[in-house]
Amino acid sequence: MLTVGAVILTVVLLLVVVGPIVHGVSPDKTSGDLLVGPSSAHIMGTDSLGRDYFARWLAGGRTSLTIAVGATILALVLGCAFGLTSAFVRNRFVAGLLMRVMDVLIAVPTILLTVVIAGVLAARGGADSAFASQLYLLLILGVSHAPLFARVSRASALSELQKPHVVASRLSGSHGWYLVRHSILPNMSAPLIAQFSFTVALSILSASAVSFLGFGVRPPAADWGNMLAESQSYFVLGAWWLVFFPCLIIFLSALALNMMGDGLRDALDPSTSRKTGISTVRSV
Amino acid sequence: MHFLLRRLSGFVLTVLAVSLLGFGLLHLAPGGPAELLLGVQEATPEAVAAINAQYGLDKPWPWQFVLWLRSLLSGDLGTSVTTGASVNDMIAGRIGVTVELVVASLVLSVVVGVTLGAASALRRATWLDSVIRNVTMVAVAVPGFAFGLGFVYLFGYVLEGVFPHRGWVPIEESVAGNFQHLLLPTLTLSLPAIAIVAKMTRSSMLETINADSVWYARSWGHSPWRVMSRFMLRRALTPVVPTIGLLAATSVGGTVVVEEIFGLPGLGSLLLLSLDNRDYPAVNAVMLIMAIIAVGSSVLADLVNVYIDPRQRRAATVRAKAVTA
Repeated sequence: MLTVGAVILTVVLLLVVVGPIVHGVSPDKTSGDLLVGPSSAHIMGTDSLGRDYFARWLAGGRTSLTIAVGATILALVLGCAFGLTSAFVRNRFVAGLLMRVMDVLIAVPTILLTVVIAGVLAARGGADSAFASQLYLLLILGVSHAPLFARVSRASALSELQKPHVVASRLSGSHGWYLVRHSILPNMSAPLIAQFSFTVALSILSASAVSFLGFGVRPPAADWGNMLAESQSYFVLGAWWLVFFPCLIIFLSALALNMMGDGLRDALDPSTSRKTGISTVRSV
Repeated sequence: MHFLLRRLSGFVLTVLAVSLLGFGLLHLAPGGPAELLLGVQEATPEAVAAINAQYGLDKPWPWQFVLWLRSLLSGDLGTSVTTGASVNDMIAGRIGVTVELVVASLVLSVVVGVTLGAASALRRATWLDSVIRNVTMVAVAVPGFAFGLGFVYLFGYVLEGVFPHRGWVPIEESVAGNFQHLLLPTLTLSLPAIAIVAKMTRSSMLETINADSVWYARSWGHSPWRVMSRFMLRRALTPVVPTIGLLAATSVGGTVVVEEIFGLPGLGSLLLLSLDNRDYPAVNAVMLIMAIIAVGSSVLADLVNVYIDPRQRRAATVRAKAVTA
């Protein structure tokens, strides 16, 4: 499973990283060939402005994957900060409060939160540029996915704290960041790595859903989600390729990442195989 | 009773926190509804101020939140800034669509998901198990809207006119029509959820198969069906139920996407519309109701869990104490 996932993911990454250089067609160049189906000239056809869909698909991959990975890194840092703090703080009120904040975030549907925040930022004029809209999407997704890491890191930190080697380390005087860095973090990396993989998959799905609704990445920048949004009125007229290819690549990336997550979790730490069942729950 | 009270107070606090968050966010944005309502030429400072005063938008937002809460307690969600209609009426006309969609998709995903998961665990290492496992693994990765767009392509282009793929017929008008219009959106919303429920049910059923209690129940002479329903499924569902609660929250978000794809007049489309129009009272109301549905279903899941496994009561109370102590 790990191997299959890794192979698919490598192919996707190669396409997205090397593809635009090899293909060499600008994703923004318009032409007179409007809505032409896949052919030898355009492998994935053209869109309503005559742009080469394969070029946009590759460029969109760079945007989507950058946002997904960036958001997950942010979620990892924020979530671990919350989770570790609440595992370490002696004051039970503070610890409970921290996790309550995470519970509130997890109870609010990601789409609802993201759409409202993005809608407000757009009103502010902040998301005028395509770059700003990508940055905002990354930040919002990062915050709303942080609880996934908070739960995992809190649970494994609490169980690590009970273990003899950590107790020994504390008895010999280590505390605070030193204890976290040398005794706790190395031992909780397995569930975190698996969770990272699941969350990137989830972020790809959420980011494309938000862009699909028109609150994510702004055109003319391409992104798998807004490519779907732009094609909505054409594909009921038969332009199936406009929807099929973005959906296919979103599906393949998410599948590969989920398989890798499952595989990594079992490979790195067989005993925690069912703890993080929550990770795949919030798919769109 | 204590347990119930704690969970309910947590529910109210969470919903209030979400509303406050939404309220604060919306009022960060300048260029409010008044400018949009008046247009560029007529948006003189005096006219804007007059409209803001009319809707109470000239007060500081924490005070507006207090006023909003006060009218909320008397059951009034405010007046739409764009249309002047009562937000209560706007919500009342649309909430049925969203609730029907969420409930139908939850029922479908629980019934089908648990059945598939249990079947897969009971027939483990057979062809049935491997089919169910592979299909669920693939289905979890399919973006929800892909199913929806696929249905729209199928019934909107390939088989045009065979089956309705857009719009809505209220249940009071025609039960059959309502069912037809409900079917595709419900499937879109529940297919990924079915996969998740089936996956979780399978793994938690597998843990019960070799449990001593099941072994004894069998040797005691209970029928296979009774062993399965009373001794295995009941025990296996404890970890699945909270997941279903979270899935309900996810479906509430998912309705925004599904209503957009199928053109349904529900709360999700109202949210998108009101965000475009800067119709703050309507956005706040939709956020409040969606938060109530989402958080409420988590609380409900906890209560169901206590019913299935009374030991959870203690665990839940201890957790609640850690929060409120």
